[in-house]
Amino acid sequence: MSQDPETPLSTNLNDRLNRALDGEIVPSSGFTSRVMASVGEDAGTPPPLAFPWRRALPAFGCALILVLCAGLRLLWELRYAAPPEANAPAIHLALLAKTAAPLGWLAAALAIAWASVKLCLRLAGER
Amino acid sequence: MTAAEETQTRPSDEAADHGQAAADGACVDRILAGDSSAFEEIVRRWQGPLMNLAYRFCRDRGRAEEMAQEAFLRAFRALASWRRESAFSTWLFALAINVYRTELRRIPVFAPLDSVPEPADPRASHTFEVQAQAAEDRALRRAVATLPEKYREAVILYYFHEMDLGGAARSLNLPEGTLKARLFRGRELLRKKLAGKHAHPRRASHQGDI
Repeated sequence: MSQDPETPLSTNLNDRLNRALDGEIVPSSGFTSRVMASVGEDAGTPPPLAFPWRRALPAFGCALILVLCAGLRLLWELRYAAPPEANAPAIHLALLAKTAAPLGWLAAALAIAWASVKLCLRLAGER
Repeated sequence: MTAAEETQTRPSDEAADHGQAAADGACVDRILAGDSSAFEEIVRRWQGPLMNLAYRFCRDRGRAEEMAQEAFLRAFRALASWRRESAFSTWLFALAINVYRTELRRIPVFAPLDSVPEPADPRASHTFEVQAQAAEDRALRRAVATLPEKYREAVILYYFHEMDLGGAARSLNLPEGTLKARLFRGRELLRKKLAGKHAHPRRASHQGDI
């Protein structure tokens, strides 16, 4: 480059930027029709379904009440339950067996819920 | 550049602007009433400015068209949010800049700006001076492209609005003082970048800048 290295910005930077950043281009002939086609497609698409807050609110309320009840019950048990004895492995095992029993049901419920969600998504996708 | 030069605004034809604003408002009314074909008038009126603005950000004609098309589509979807407190053009430019910003964050401009063919300049001849000037312009554009986003936007919008500080500030939704500060800082960074480039002419020439 033959530019004077001592004065790389010898001319006004403002003018040089104005010149360098200038550059007019004209949209291609089909630009308007392409935009209008995409606008028409967009206008023809139904708006996304709004979340049914009115229907969901009672369920949310019930869930909140259940969580509160469970929390209160937990606090109650922590406060008034007798401290566990240090050497009572049999009692511990019995408790463990009792608590493990519903795990199978829990796993089954989760699997059914997962299958329901997958089925709904698939049906919605095929629509 | 002096502060006085910074704040100078380009004289504009207010009557024409007012007429255009009224036409834009009427089009928007029709679209909101359900006549989506009225949007074509808006597209025809603003396709040039929106595409040229996109081109200044990416220096790629094809990509500029895609970005402008996306900006128009977003504008169509968001027409109801135009509060008419500002001109339609101000709202449209602000929306387009947001679209362009998002798009350029998603896919930054990686292509060397030098490789992009420039629009034909009728004055151009293959003289040494013209080639040198073109190389200098490319180096400057490359330097602008490497500025941090907020300075790059300030510089591009200021010159896009033909050095109208108020117009650029409205498009960027910034106070004029903030834009002025960003312009000042952006120019300082450019000076440093270009000075560094000229301090290492051999390395610069290896990069194909000059």
